Amino acid sequence: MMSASTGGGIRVKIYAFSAFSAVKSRSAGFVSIRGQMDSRLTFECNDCAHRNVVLPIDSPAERNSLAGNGLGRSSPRLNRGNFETILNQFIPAGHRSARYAAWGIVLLVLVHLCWLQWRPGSDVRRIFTAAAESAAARPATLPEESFDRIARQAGDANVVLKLAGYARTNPAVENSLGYFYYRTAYALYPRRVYVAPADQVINDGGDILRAGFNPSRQWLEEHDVRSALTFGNDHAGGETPHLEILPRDDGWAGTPTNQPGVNQ
Amino acid sequence: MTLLAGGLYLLLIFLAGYALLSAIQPSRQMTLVQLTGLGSAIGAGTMGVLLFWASLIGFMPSRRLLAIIGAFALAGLLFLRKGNQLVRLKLRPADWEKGDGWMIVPLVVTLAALAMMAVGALSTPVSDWDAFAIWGFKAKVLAHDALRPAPAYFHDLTFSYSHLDYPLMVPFLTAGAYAAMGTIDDQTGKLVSVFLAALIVPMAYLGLRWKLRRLPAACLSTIPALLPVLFRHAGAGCADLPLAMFHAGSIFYVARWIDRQQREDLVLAILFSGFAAFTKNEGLILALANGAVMLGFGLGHNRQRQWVGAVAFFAGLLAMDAAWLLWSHSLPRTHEDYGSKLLSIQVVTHLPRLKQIIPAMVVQTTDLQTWGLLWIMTGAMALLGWQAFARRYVLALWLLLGLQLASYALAYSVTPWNLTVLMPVTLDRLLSHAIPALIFLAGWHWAELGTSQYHHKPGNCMG
Repeated sequence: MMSASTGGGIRVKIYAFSAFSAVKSRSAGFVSIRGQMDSRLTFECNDCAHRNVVLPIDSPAERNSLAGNGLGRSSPRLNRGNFETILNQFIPAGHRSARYAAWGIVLLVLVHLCWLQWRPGSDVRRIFTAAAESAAARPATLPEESFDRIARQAGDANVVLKLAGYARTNPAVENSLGYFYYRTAYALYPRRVYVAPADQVINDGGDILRAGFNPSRQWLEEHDVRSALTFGNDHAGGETPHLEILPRDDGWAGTPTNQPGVNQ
Repeated sequence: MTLLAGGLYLLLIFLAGYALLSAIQPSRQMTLVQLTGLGSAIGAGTMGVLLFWASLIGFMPSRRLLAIIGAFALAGLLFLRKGNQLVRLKLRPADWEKGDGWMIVPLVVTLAALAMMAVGALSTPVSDWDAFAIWGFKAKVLAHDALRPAPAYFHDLTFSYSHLDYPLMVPFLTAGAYAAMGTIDDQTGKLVSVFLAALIVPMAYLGLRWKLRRLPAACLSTIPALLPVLFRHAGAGCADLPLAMFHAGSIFYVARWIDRQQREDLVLAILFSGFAAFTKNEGLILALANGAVMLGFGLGHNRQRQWVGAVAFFAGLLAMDAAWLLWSHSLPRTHEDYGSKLLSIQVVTHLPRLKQIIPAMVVQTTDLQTWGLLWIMTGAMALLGWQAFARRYVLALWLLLGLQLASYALAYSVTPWNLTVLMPVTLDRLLSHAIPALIFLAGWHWAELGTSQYHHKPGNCMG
């Protein structure tokens, strides 16, 4: 190996010196030369630092000249690899079978993925079916759509969440209550769904249950709350969740009570 | 009409990215896939950051703001064109090889898959919990109010579930789409989500073409487009696939920097790492890992240029994300707060949980319904092309992948949630961040078997 510096201060390392490589490196201004004892030489280009510049070694004499420098095994199929590594001493002479194996693996992966997407129940099939259906034929009961519809009914005022019946005490509803709150809060924004005072941390449905939010009428009026969203079964057996417009003077809000349908 | 406006918004993103790319890599030649992919990826990140900065000084996303950004992008392009510095499109590659005509097959499959993703996303409402509770909610907030003064949302603890401190790249990009469309239409707004996810494919191709010939690079690039995990989350509206896309750019340019130490690679590594850090909290960890690996390789090989580059990387990353770090510093954290927990003694006390976490991660990688044979393929390619372990950029990428998986395992170990509930619903999304690294590793190992690209003309190396 020999090394030198270029005018620009870049270190030049020549790992395989021969008349051939020296001429090429000088004329092309390469930063470094990385010999590959196959049928070509790889250089690092000074112009754009590309590492895979190849100059073919045309004659068997040139190949043997390079091989004779102790840079690779002088077998009929010469070793190829990176001279600056120790590993390349163990690189097998032929890569053909490994190359076929690699292609086989990639094709297998692709075919498997195509099959995954083509089989019944796949994502592609699901999308295709959904896209082919008319909007009217689609189930109108997707939870997110029904929650969004409820939110739209709230008009331009804020909403308070009311827990009713089993939803007030049953931890089993935590998950669905969380989903309900997240969805309606998202759908209503910039209007608000109040479930707790602003300094109360709500990380899940359980926090809403524990908050037991029961604002006074004055609080509701101050926060421009004009309707209540009921979650859980109410005493009248009505459908939930549902939205009710708060009557201004019926006194339900802010009244601490154990009556069903009121936040505790 | 809203779809058309959304399309124009994506075009604006590309123009912004094209201008910045031309400034970073003047007069470079690229193929259509590389130019549109890289230009759009840089443009998306730039747009998100610009909208954030504008919001910080009191301008929420609006058509007027987008028009100003567009005018600056066009002015930049005209200026660069005058100096003959625009990135040029390479329409007729001189290195077309025998067999490359088969590229039409992976190309058609990829386009069909991406089209299906788009159809799936745009024909269904936002339904993923995280998509509407975290990312979609923030997009709505940012579309309504600028960050100065800070909207009440960011300090209202009843919204704690939506992780008030999460980065705002995806919400700002979505809010930008709402501004372009003139309405908050979250279903059409998912166009942004699909666009960012689809960019993983050209970014993968970009990284693969560095070392692979055209056909194998195209075949490998098709794999992410067909992955069930990508189909599942591409149109959901979450930030995981955008993070994977930015991470693809960051690890590719970090690897190239380690290999070649070119200034432009460093600049792009900083840009993409900064974008990733502004996309998700995991992105900040990945960006720091990028810098640590660059520094490690620089010090390990005693190359001054390389470790100086690593220092410049950290400085650039800090400069890009300083505004976000400062602004978000006072935001309330949830009980999760992985950042603090990972820096506390809890990491040590919770190590026994790894006995549950690591097997679950291994099992997830072999879930063929989610990943196909991707993880297995990368392992097999590494065995076949094991000589690539001698390459510093390959070693660096393995190291980055290892750090990524290790940091995720540690994050799970300190989570306040029940692991048996949390992992099944989040693990596939979390591991989707590793898709680019897996694809690059498979390709770069494959390149050692004689499928590397070797035709070259100076200035033409992006083939």
